[in-house]
Amino acid sequence: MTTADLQIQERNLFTDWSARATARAADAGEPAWALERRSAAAATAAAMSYPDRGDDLWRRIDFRTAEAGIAGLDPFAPGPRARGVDDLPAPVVARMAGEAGNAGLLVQRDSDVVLEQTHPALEKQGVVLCSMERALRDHGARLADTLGALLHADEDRYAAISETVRSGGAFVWVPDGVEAALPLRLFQWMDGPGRLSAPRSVIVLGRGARATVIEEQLSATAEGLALHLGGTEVFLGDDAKLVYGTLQDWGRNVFHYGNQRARIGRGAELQWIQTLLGGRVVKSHSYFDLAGSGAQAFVHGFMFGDGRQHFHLHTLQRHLADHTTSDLLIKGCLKDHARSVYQGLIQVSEGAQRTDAYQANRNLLLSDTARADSIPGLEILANDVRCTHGATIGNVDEEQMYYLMSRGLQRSEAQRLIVEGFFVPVLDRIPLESVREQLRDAIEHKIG
Amino acid sequence: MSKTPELIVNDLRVAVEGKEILKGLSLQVAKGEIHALMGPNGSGKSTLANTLMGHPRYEVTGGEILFKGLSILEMEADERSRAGLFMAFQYPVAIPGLSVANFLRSALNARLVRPETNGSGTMPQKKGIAPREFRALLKGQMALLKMDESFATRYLNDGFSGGEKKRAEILQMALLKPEIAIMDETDSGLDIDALRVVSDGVNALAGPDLGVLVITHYQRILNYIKPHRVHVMVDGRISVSGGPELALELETRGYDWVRNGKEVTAP
Ligand SMILES: Nc1ncnc2c1ncn2[C@@H]1O[C@H](COP(=O)(O)OP(=O)(O)OP(=O)(O)O)[C@@H](O)[C@H]1O
Ligand SMILES: [Mg+2]
Repeated sequence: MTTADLQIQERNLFTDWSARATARAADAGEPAWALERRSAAAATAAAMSYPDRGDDLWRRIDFRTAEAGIAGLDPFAPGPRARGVDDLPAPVVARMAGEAGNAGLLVQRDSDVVLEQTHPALEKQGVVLCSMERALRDHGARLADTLGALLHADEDRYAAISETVRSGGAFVWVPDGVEAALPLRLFQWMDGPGRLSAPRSVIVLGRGARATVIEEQLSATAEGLALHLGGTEVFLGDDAKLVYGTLQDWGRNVFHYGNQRARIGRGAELQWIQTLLGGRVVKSHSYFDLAGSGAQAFVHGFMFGDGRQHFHLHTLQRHLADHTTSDLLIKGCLKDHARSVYQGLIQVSEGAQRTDAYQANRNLLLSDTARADSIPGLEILANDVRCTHGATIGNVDEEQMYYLMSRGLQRSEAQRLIVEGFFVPVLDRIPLESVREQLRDAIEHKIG
Repeated sequence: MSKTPELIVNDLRVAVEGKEILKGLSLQVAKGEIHALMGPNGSGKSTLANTLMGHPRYEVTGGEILFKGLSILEMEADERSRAGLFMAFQYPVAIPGLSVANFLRSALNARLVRPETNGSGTMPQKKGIAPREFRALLKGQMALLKMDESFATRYLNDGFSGGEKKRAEILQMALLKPEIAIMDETDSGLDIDALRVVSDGVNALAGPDLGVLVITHYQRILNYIKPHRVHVMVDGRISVSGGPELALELETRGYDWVRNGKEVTAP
């Protein structure tokens, strides 16, 4: 086939997807403005080709395998409705560790949200937790100026595809002055290969509101490609405080590209925890806009790769107002032939005086064939600021090994304790003990 | 003493990065004995301690180390530890993220579940020490060393003061119950009270089941931990050995008279 033929074929694919997605969404009662965005995004997707080597955000990751298989994926794979937690896939239930009754719950399976379980305590407070589909029907006005406000379809080809076939996702709304009585837990599960899942979530905290939201992405490893193109937008009103954890542990066949955006208002505080464990090729863009005076973002994350996993994490600390603080720590641990790229940028705009920005990236290599790259960047337009960044890449410290072994610990056990310790500063930030425990197990399992 | 000493070092030669540091050192320590090893900076005391413990960077180029009658030269540090050897580090290493309690429980369990004794077939995996039992044990030992309970949850040697590190070394020694312990300058950096606490800790462990080699620069600790023998090391060898009075003599006369090569062998 010629390039022109391929382009036609691709345009046909996106046109077909767009038509089906729009028809389904219209049936579900999606407002016109949202439907229009889908069609516009389809045109954008068709017009944008695979990001070339000149694209600084794409040259260090290889999505061509996903690209080659994209036409064979199903963006509309239905998930069976769950009447309760018992109807959910066992690994999801296991993650809840018997605490499903102590949280607001929303579970997505392939393209559909299959369980929305708020809690009387949350309902009484006016906290909203529902699927994006329901929210577009019932809370259209609240979404009109939030959904897509921070994350645009023309960001890149995959953001456009994601918008076109957008399916599922969560809407969280915490009214002014309310401290959500229980944590909100969001799950995304994919039942097998051949799926393209593209959820979009919006989380809004009103003035002085407080909440804890934990999102977990899980699937079993299977033969064959699956693609996850998700997006989340977070809005913190003045003086709000959100603890948000996004924990990715896909099966090893999943290509993942997630876009996270947060806008932090005056005096508000975001505690952000992001962990990347699963997937085959994983790309994540997390951007933090410190939009109001005194806004604060504390970001803790890790990537732990084995086999031939390849991670690319890009963060952006964007200081748009004065007296804002961002403090970021990303840890990377790589074994076997795994590879990670951390690309972190601090931007300070002209008016953002008295900004305090910190960025640290620490990498631990457990094999000679693993590789970590760290690419820091600073763009500072204000003159009265404090910005520091630092990166380290190294092997397990031999003196630490010797010290532990001199106490009778075998080499493998000593290494396990050191590697577990390496992740602790991030694990310590995870708000729920049971979730922390499961992550610790996952890490231990991965250390082997 | 008629029985064979547990630790026998014979004509030991050790090189670090090609440079010979120990140049034919011999020393014997038996259970029930306390030996002091003194000597000027750089004479090789820590090199000896680390070579005994099995630090991979120290290359044994000659001589032998026998522990309980067997050569340990081929053993890695963890095997030596499980065999009953212990070294309190001159500079304990910090392990961020690893709590003291988690570390100590793992170290104790490493002694219970020994893979190398698992010769034929698989040994039923022992669960290790019960959490409750461990907590009680740890609490008791920490109280003896006058350590605050919050210590157990802190990360190993991470941000510890000099004195806290040395106490933590003794805590490890108390829990691991070695047969021969080498203490590399455990007294340096300790204030008077801490020195007493640490010495009391060592004395509580000393007895017929433990042999100790105390490496120190100061007579002071030897007022608390009474040595049977004192050795002076100069330039990679023991140049003088004697009774406790030798330490006092060094305190007043310095090292020069030993360094000048007069082999004075005290009783
Ligand atoms: N890992 C090493 N790499 C290079 N040189 C070393 C190493 N360890 C020891 N040395 C050298 O070996 C010599 C003996 O050092 P060692 O630490 O054993 O002395 P010491 O008697 O313990 O001294 P101090 O009283 O200062 O503790 C010194 O010259 C030191 O620089
Ligand atoms: Mg020394």
